[in-house]
Amino acid sequence: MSEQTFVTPAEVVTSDPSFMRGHGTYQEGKDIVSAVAGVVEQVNKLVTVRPLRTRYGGEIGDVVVGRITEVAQKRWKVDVNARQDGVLLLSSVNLPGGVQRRKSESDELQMRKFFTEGDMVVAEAQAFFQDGAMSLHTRSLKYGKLRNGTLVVVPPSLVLRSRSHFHTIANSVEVILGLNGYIWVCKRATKAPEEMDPDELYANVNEDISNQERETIARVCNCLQALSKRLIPIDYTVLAFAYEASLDRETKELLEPEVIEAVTTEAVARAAMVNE
Amino acid sequence: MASFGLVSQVERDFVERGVDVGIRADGRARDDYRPPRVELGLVSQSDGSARCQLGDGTDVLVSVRCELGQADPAADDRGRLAVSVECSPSASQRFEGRGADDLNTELSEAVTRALTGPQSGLNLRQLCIVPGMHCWVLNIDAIVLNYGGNVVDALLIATRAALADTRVPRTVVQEMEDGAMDFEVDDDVENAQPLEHVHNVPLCVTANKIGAGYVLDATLTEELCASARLHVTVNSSGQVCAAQKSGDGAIEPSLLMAMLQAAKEQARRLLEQQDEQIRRHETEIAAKRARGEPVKRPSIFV
Repeated sequence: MSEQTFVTPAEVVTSDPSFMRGHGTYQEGKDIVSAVAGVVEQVNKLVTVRPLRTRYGGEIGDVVVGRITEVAQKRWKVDVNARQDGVLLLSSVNLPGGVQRRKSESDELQMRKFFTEGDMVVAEAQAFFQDGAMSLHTRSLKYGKLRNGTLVVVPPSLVLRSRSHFHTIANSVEVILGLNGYIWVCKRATKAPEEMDPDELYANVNEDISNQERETIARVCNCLQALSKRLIPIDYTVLAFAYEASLDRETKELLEPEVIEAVTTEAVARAAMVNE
Repeated sequence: MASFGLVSQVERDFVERGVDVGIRADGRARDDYRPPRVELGLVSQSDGSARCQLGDGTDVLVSVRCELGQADPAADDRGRLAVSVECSPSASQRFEGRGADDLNTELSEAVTRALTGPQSGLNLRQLCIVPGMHCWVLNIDAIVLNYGGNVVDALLIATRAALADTRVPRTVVQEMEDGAMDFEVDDDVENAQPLEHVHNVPLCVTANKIGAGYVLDATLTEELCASARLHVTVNSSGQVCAAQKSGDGAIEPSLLMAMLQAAKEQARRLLEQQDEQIRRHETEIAAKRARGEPVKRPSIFV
């Protein structure tokens, strides 16, 4: 088998009887056949097919962007684009007033003051429960409630793991590339989280956003959508090049197929040059 | 998305202020419409079909099938339309099971109202076979494959295109010896007739009130932030056929006029584009036929 093989449903992966069928495959006579469209992977004698379009799997340490869907006993449920909602425990968030203070009953009663249904949050995967649900934490000032911007959704398999998932584009717009395919694009905060009042960390108020910043946010969002439409793996480099390549067009032109094609092709070519 | 239908307070504020200054989250201005991509004649088992996609999100497929039915005693010289819209669970987890029932009914009603009112344009008398006895029933079945906002507009764009693509089989009526009427359906598609006055069928343009302003062709997030919605149906003579408001917010008279005006202008552009596309499609079919390539049979014989 070659290093990376793409297969489509009903395509024979291998006819060698010494292989065992794994996820994404089924047996048909002597053949192991793919049940999904994806990449063939092999561990010893076990053959699996990893689907291209799938829900987010996740690993410990991943930066994810999620939306609170439910407030429950001492925990929030978070939609992280996975098979089941992630869990953010009350004990895994920084509460106002002291970094290491104990969570009291009064905190439990006012959980909606911190996060309520619909709120966007950036967090890190801390652990997995027995049933496969992801446990998140926001015990760092990098993480927490998201404001001043908008959400872009791309297939999770397109977001590449990299050293940092927090980036700044054009000096004014921050992009958080959640590995679960949720990407938050917002105005760069004027105040670093370290300088914020404890209460400000959980505030539900946007800063003032100038028209130019709004345009830039929209342009970055459209670039992300364009890359995702062409199924191009997304990291900071390719996004930055796509943004630059798009600058001689109007933002809304980036919704047109021809422009998407031109901008993404240029971005990929320039990113390839840098990676060499 | 598991969190379909949720939006945070700060996202709402971001959208509202964006509408205020006229820069939306995807860079469009308030009146900008995502260019609809329409394809005609996709479903081989139906007598007419079309698919409409708006942006990356919305995707609907409409099929029209002619079926024989009993004439309605209240309108015995006319045929009937039967509209059904279904939201596929592949569009959103929320639509699984009975989750989409309310929305399906709402959307079916919206399309029915646009097509069956006195303004609809279609000549239902054409669908009558034997007055008081038999008529054609046009089954209009729509499926929402992806939900990315502004579905009503997309549904009507696709429905109008599908109706233009529709051919009704020819029928030959004979009087029997005992005076009863009998008829035969011609299975030759060459003799099937297009629907009369299909160019008068209106399109719908929806304006969403967000904050103090309005937007056309809202995305999913924008729809969640809208306090009121106005569906305006407009025909090809530029006349407003119907307007329907939904949502619990109020619309000020001045804003209402602005919404109507914007919807009218947008509808004119959409209708022009679509009529042009329908003409192209018809020329293509005529060319195919001239080359002697196989043409499909009416669906009741398939």
